[in-house]
Amino acid sequence: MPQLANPVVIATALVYLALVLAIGLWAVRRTRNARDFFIAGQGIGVVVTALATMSAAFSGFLFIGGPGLTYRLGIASLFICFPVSFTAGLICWTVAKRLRLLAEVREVFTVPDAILCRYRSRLASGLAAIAVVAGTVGYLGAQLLALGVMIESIFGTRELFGDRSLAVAMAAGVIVVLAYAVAGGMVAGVRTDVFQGALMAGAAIAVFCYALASGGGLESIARRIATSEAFGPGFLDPLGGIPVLTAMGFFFVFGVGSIGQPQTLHKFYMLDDPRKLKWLPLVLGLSQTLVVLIWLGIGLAVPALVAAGKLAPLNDPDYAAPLFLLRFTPGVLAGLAFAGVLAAIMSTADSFMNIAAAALVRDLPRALGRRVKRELSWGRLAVAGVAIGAATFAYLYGDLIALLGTFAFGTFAAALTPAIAVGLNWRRVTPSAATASIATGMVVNFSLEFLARQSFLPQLPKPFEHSGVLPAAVALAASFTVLFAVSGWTGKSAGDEIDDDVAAVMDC
Amino acid sequence: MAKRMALSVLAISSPVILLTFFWRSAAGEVLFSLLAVIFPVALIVLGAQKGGRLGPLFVPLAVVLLELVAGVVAMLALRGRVLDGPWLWGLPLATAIQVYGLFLLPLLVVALSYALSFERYGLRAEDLEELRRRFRQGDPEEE
Repeated sequence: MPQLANPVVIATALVYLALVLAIGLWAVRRTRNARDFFIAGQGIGVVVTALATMSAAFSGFLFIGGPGLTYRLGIASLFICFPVSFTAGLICWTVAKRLRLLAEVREVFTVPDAILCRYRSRLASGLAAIAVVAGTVGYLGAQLLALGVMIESIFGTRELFGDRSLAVAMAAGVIVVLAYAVAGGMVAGVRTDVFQGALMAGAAIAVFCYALASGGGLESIARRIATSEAFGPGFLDPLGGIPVLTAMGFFFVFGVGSIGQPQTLHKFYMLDDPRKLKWLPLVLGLSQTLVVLIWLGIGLAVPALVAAGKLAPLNDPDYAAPLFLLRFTPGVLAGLAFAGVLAAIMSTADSFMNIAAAALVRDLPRALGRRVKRELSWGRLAVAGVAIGAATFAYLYGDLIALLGTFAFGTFAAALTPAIAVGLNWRRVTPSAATASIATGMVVNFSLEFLARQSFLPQLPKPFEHSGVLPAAVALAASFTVLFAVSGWTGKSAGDEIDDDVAAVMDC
Repeated sequence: MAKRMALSVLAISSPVILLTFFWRSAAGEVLFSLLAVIFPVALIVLGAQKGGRLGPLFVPLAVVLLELVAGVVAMLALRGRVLDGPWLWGLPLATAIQVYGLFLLPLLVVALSYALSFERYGLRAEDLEELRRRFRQGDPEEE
C-alpha cells in the first residue's frame, strides 16, 4: 500500500475517528439489555436500517479491491456488484418481512434463531451457527487486517514503529471499533453505521463524478481504453474478458447469495415497525447503487490513465484506487475517500463482531440445549474476545485469513440461502432437508475453495481450474438441489410440524 | 399457480445449473447465463405471491424477467463487437446493456413495484395487528 500520510488525509481520518467514537459513547447509556445489544432495541427506522444494512454489506473491498479487480479482469468484474439493483427487493420479498415478523412473535435475534423457530431443529440451527462463526472469522480477520494496513498507510506508522508498525496499527483500529462495539453493541453499531454509510455514499459519488470529469467523460474514457494496446476492446466486453461461467457466476452468487448474508439479515430484526419495510428496497437499493459508483468510476478511470500514458501500468492492481486518489484528486476528496474506506471496513467489522458474539452466546449454546444467563454481559465479553482473537489470528496468519475472507460470502450464501429463502416460503421444506442443505453448502464450498487455492499438496486435484466455474456457484446450486431433493423425499406432511405462530408468519 | 411455477423453476434449475458446470460447452454457458437471471426472479415470485397468486405484480416481475433475459441474450450476441458495433450513452452496446440494463433499470422496477404493492401483497396493517393479537409475547425484562 502506498504511503498516504499527508496533512489533509490525516486530519480527515482523525476527525472521522473522533466522530465515530463520540457516536459510540452517546449510545453506551442506551444499551440496557441483550435486545438492545444484539438488535438495537428493535427501534430504528427505515433510513437507518437501509444505511446500516448497506454499510455492513459493503466492506473496504468495494473501495480498494473492486477497482483493482476491474483493472485486472475488465468490466466483467462488475457482475459482482451490479446485482445490487435487485437484491434489496429480492431480500425483502423472500425473507425480510418474515424474519422481522418472527421477531414480532418470538425472541429472535439471529439467523440461526430464525432457523430454530422455522424447523424446530437444534442441529440445523447449530450448523447455521457454525457457518456464521466460520465465515465470520475469515471476514472479520480480513477486515481488521485491512484496517491495520489503512491506518498504517494513513498515519505513516512504519517510520515510528518499524517492523511492529502493522501490529500497532491493527491494535489501534481494533481498540476504536471495540470502544463502541463492546459498550454500545448494536445501538452504537447502527448509529455509527448511519454516519459511516452516509460518508461512504458521499465519497463514492464525489469520486465517481471527479473520475468521469477528469477523464473527459464516459465515452472518451471508454474509447481510450478500447483502443489501447494495454487493455484493448476485450476489457469493455462484459462477457469477453473472462469466461462466461465466471462472469455470470458472479451475478448468480452475488445476486442469489445475498439472501444468506447474516450481517445483512440481522439488520431487519432491528426495524421498529415491520410495515416500514415498504420503502426499504428503494432506500437500500439506491444507497447501494450510489456506493457502487466508486468501483465503476475508478475501475474505468485508472485503465484510461494507464492507456493515456499518464500512469505507469500497475504491478499490483489493488493500488489502483489509492494511486488514483493520491495523484489525481484534490487532497480534500482523497481525505474524504480514505475516510470512506475506513468507514466501510469498520462498519463491516462491527457487524461481524456482533453476529459472531450472538452465535457464540446464543446460537451455539441453544443448539446444545443450553441457555446462557446474563446474555448482555457475556455478549460484551464475546465481542471483545472475537475481535481480539480474529485480529491476532489475522496478524499471525495473514495469508490464511485473506483466503478465508475471500470465500466467506460464498460460505454464507451456500449454507444459509436455500434454508431460509425457500424454507420461509414453502412449508414442505423439512428439518432434514434444511440440515442437509446447510451441511452441503458449507462442505462443498469449503472443499472446492480449499482445493482451488491450496498449494502445499500439489498432488490434490484443482476442480474447475480451467473452466472458470466459481466454487461458491457450485456450492450454492448443490445446496438448493439437496434442499429440493430431500424435501421431495421427506416433505409430504412437513407443514404439520411447524408451530402455529411461525406458520402464521409464513402466511402473512 | 405462481407459487407452484416458481418452485418448479427453482427445483429444476438447481440441478441443471449444477450440470452446466460439468458440461463444458457453449450451449452450457448460454443455459447457465439464462438460468442465472431466471433464478432470482423465481425466488422473488416465491416470496411475493400470496395464496399462490401474483395479481398485479405479474406485470412488473414479467418486465424484470424479460429485461434480464433479453440483456443476457444481447450481451452474448454482441460478444467481441466493442469497436465495430454500435455505442449507447458513452459505452459499447453490450457494456451499456450491462450497466444500464442489468444494473440501473431493475432497481427502479423492483423497488417501486415492491413499495406500490406493499399494502396488498406486502404486509397489511390488519394482518400485522391480527398476528400481534394472537401471538405476541411480552417484552423481555432488562438485565
